[in-house]
This record gives sequence, C-alpha cells and structure tokens, in this order.
Amino acid sequence: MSILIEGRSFEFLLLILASAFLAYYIYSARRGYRPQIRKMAPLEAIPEAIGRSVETGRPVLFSVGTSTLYSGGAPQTLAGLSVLGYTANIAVELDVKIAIPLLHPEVIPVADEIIRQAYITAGKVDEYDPVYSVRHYGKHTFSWTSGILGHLQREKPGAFIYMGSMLADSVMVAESGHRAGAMMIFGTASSGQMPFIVAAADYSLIGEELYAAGAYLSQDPVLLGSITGQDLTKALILALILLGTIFMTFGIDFLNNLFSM
Amino acid sequence: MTYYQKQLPLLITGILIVTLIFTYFVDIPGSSLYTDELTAWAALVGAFAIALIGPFNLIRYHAGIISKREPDKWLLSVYTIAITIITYAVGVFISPIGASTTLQDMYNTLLVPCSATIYSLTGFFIASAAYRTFQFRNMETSIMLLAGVLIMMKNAAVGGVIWPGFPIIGDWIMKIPNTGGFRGIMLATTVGLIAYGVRLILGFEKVHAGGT
Amino acid sequence: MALEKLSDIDRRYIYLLLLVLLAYPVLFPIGLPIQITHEARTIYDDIEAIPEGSLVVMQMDYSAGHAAELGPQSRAIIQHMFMKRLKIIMPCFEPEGPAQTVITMDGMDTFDAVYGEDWVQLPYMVGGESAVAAFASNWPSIVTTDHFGNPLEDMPIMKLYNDANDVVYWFAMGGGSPAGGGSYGPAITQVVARYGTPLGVGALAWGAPLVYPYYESGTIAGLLIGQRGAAEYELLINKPMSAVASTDSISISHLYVVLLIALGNVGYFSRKFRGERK
Repeated sequence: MSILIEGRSFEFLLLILASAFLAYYIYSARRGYRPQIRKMAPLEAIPEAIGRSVETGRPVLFSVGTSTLYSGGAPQTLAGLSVLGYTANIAVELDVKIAIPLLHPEVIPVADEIIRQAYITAGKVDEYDPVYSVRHYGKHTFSWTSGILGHLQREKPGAFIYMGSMLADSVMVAESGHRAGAMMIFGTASSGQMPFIVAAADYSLIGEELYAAGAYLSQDPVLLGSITGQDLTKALILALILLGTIFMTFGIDFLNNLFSM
Repeated sequence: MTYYQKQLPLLITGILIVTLIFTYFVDIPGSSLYTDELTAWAALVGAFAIALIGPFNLIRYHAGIISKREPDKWLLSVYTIAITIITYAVGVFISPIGASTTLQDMYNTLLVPCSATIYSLTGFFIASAAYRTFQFRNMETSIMLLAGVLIMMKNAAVGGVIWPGFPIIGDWIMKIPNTGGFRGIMLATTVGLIAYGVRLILGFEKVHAGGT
Repeated sequence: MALEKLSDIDRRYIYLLLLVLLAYPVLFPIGLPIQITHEARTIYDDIEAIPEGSLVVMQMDYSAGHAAELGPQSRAIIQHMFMKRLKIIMPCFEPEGPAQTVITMDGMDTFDAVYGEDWVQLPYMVGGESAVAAFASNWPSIVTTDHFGNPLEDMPIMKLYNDANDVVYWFAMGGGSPAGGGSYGPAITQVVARYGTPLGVGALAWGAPLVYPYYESGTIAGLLIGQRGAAEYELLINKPMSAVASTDSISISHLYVVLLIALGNVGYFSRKFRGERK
C-alpha cells in the first residue's frame, strides 16, 4: 500500500532527486566549489556595446523584462537584475548614463539600489540621477512598450540590453532599437519570444543561457550551484528520454511502466 | 524584530511550499481544505496587490516626478495620475461590479483602440525584421529562413492553393522539429523553475521578503 | 547597384504597402479558399459530440491587444456551444477578460439560452494559477457573484458545478506562453492534470509553436490558431463572420512578407558578389 497518490510516484522521485542535486551543489558552492560556466558571446559583447556608447556619446538602455519578482517569470527578472549590476558597473565607470524603464513598480527599489550601488562603488554617488535612470512607463504591457519605443527614438541609445521575461514587445523594441542604431543584446527564457530575439537582436541568450548569465556575472555561489544542479537534472532527464526511446523502439515497457507508477 | 523581518517570512515561504508539494503527492484526508484555503488566500493577497499596492506605487513614483518638475515629464505624470484616479473612481463608485456600463464604455473607447494599435505594430515590425534578417548568410539563418517561409505559406489560406505541399511540409515542421525543440526548451525552463523553488525553500531567495 | 538597393528599401514604404495590402481585401474581399485543419476539426467534433445540457467552461482570458485573434475564436466557439444547447460558465483570470467577454457576447445569438440557467459570465478572479486551481476545485472560495453583481449561489447553472469533474469540456483562450503565466498553462496543470477534463485551446498565431507539444502529446484535445483558426471554425459551424473576412488579408500579407524576404536576399547576394568581384 503506497502512501503516494497513484501515478505520481515517479514524479515525486524525480523531484526529490532534482532537489537533492540542487541543494548539494548550492551548499558545495557556498563552501568554495566554483563550477566553470562557459563564456557566452552575448555577455562578452556587453563591454563592447557600452564602449560603443562611449564613443558615440549616447546612453545605455537596459530592461529587465515584463515579469515581477514573485511570479513565474521571477527567475528571469532576477537574472536580468544580475546582468544589470554588471552592466551598471561598467557604464558608470565609463561615465555613460544608463536608463532602465520598468513595467512593475515593485522592481523599482531593487533596480534603484543596484544602480546606486554602482555609482557608490565608482565613487560617483553625487552623479546618480534616479529620475533619469529608473523610469516607470505604466503597468500595462503596451503602455510600457510604447514608452520604450519613444525612448529609443528620442534618446537613441548606443546599447540596448534587454534581459528578462518578454511578451509581445520583443520584436517591436528590437526593430525600434535597430532603427535607433543601438547595439542590441537580448536574453529571455520566454519560449514564445526566443525566435524573435534570435532573428532581430545582434546577440541573444535563450532559455537556460539567461539563468547561467546571471550566475556567471554575479559569481553568486547560490546561483552557480543552482546552474550545476540544473545541468545534472537535465542530464538525468536526457538519459531517461534516450533510454525510453530505445526501450520503446524494441517494445520494452519497463520505463513506460516506471513513469506511470 | 530583525528575525521577524528577515528570517520568519523565509521560513513561512519554505514551509508553505513544502507542505503544498507534499499534498500534491500524498493523499492526506482533509488536505484539500488546506490547499483550498491557501489558494484562496493567494488570490486575496494578489487582489490587494493589484488593487491597492500597484496604483499606490504608480502614484508615488509619478508624484515624485511632479514634485521635482522634471521637464518634459511632469505633465505626462499629471496625466497618468489623473487617468488612474478617474478610472479607479469610476470602477469603485460609478460602475460597481459591472452594474453600469461607464467603465465598459471607457474600456471600449480608450484602452481597446490603444492596445490594439500598439499590438498591431508587431505585424509591421515583424515584416521589417524578416526583410532585414532573413538572409542566406550561414547555415543557421538559412534554416530559419526556409522554416519561416514554409510556415508562413502553411498559415496563409492561399498557401495550399499555390502548392498542396505547403500545408503538408508546414505541418511536419510544426509537429516534429518544432515540438522536439520546444519540448527541450520547456524542460530546461521548468528545471530552472524547480531550482528557483528549491532556493525559495532553502531561504536563498530573499527578494520577495524584502531582502537582496 | 540597383539590385543592391533592394535590401535597403525605406521601412516607411514597406509599412505603407503592408497597410494597403491588409486593408484592400477587407474592403474588397477576394474570397480565397480556406482549408480546414485537423486541429480545428477535432474541437468541432468534440463539441458536436457533447450531449445537450452538459456543462462546459469557456475561459475568457485575453486582452484588447489579443482580441483581434482570440475574439473571433471565442465568438465562434461560444456560438457553437449555444447552438448545441450546452450550459456555459465563463470564468476570467485575466483583468480585461470580463470586458472582452461583454464585447464578444454583444450581438451573439444565444438560441434562447437564459442567463443564470444556461450561461453565466463570471468576474475577473485574481491569482493566476492559484485562482484557476481554486475555481477548478472549490469555486465558492474565490467567487461569489457574477460580473454584474448577481449572487452565484442563487443561479441554477452554478448548482451544477462543484468542481472540474462536473465539466465535460474546458476551453481556454490565452495570449501568453504556458510557462510564463499564460491562461491555458494553468488550465493544463490545474484542470487536465488533476481532473482529466478534455481541454481545447485557442492560441495566438505566434503562440502556436508553444502549444503544439501539448497537442502532439494528447494533453490538449484540440487547437485553434490565430485568426485563421477562427475562420476555420466559423466555416465549420456555417456562420462566416469577421475571421473569414480577414483571411484574405492574412494570405496577402504573408505573400508580401515572403516577397520582402526574397528582395532582401537579392540585395544581399548582389552586394556580396560585387564585393567578391572586387
């Protein structure tokens, strides 16, 4: 007699395994283990994009996407905020203004703190202008999108870095960014928008790469450990898929029965 | 007070997540009362966030711009706050729970045309994005170009008239390579969400509780 | 030189011509044939097979921006449900859902269906997936009145609904992606996974690649894609409406984009060969 609900036993086992991998590697990373994450071209391009802004005397536009800090898209927002920290540090060091228009007011204090910290680190706290840097273009997706479209046309940033959850705004802001002459580095795990950013942006991070980017740039041990645990979980799933395909091809029901336990 | 501000919210978050997951896998008599109550509370808190905290933050932010008289911005902030207050007042006092049509009329005449206009820009921008980027530059862009054209011809009603093979090939692309690719992406995204949940349970994610 | 300019056409002319090509078939319909897809026919057959008087849920979750595609879909599906004399509950988990439902129901032939007995429009229920879960399991915990302020406990139709086990068919509209909080995602996890209720989905055209994995695995019973899906359904129920009228525009605009891509490539290769010759 099983205490688990019928049909959910294998799911439970998989969840426990995935959680165990994650917890193990998070705690390992906190004790000093530093997994190697491969370099990603879009992240390498961020200093180049900011340098371009310096040369042309134009500001940088950054966006952390359309999600909040507690919804399903929160991991993407958090990854975007990690990239914001990295970008803001470089921009402030090179005396380039950076603006971040936000869709959700609850993200405002977090973004404000990140950029303020960059100015403090560079010893330029008096130059920080929160009204310029942290903007709110309304809570509706399309009001925010039209705000960004206007921003792109008015201020013509040299670099447009958009890392986070995306909705239907991605292709619109990408095309406007291209017309404004901005170098565009986009990243999202929003499945529906990946094709658009791959087509329209100069550099793109899709899916897992966005989460890895946040870990890579922040070097936060928790995020680094998470990435390693996630990769191990995905390897396990991949192994199950391959084995399942082989077994089913030869008519062996073992894994099929295991999955529906 | 530090413990109650910092540690207690994280502890509550972790306990709630673990117990909710537990009730999904283990059939405990009466657990549906617990899950129903929690989901009702989640909806209630969400309602307050949208109805009160959202407009409050919006007004606070724009009031700051108005008080500083930022050139080119403060008038727009006045307009934003005025529209917010008017819509709020209409919804709460004039159109209680849809009894009158004022809020619906405002929605039909203001929001619908604006939203539809901005969203319809997507079509124009996609046309120019496709014109700009869909070129036979290398293997990846060539495959993207061919797949894009074939899917467009499948989706267009006239595609099947021009050549009956377009719907067949388009269907195959959607059902085989597309399904396989997106399954992989969805798996990876879902594992990322599981990782986020584990970090919440272990208390490493603190932003929702006011941490950094 | 001239060929190279084909990849440098001013965007404004591209947009202007696209606008003309989109508007012309609406004003002067061409009448191009529409092929009915298997995905749309599956939904039609499933709803046709539902006995009269059965309870169905029509989840109206789309905003004004998505109404051009999802509005005609919902209108066609709801019309079919009324034609079949089904009892329809219309919950909304998107803030603009109730307002869009009012727009959709305006002018709808309800086949003498009585509000409160045969159909009911519910208000916006906050909470996303939590709200869907609560509605699917214990609706009084999340909603007590309809969109117009009438108490639900007095309505005969709501007495038929305890949880999703009482629903014969669940149709979810949605403008987002499943993982990102889109409206049919919660229906998959909270209704199909928990109760096994058959689910039909109305998706935006750009959201179709995301929904296909669920359709191919059998998680979703049927699928309407964009305005084309709405047009197919209008033809299936023999009530051509706005979607059929717009299909010519879709066809012409798709052909135009293919032409643009071809011109862009001509310009690209012309520039490339000129560079190689030098």
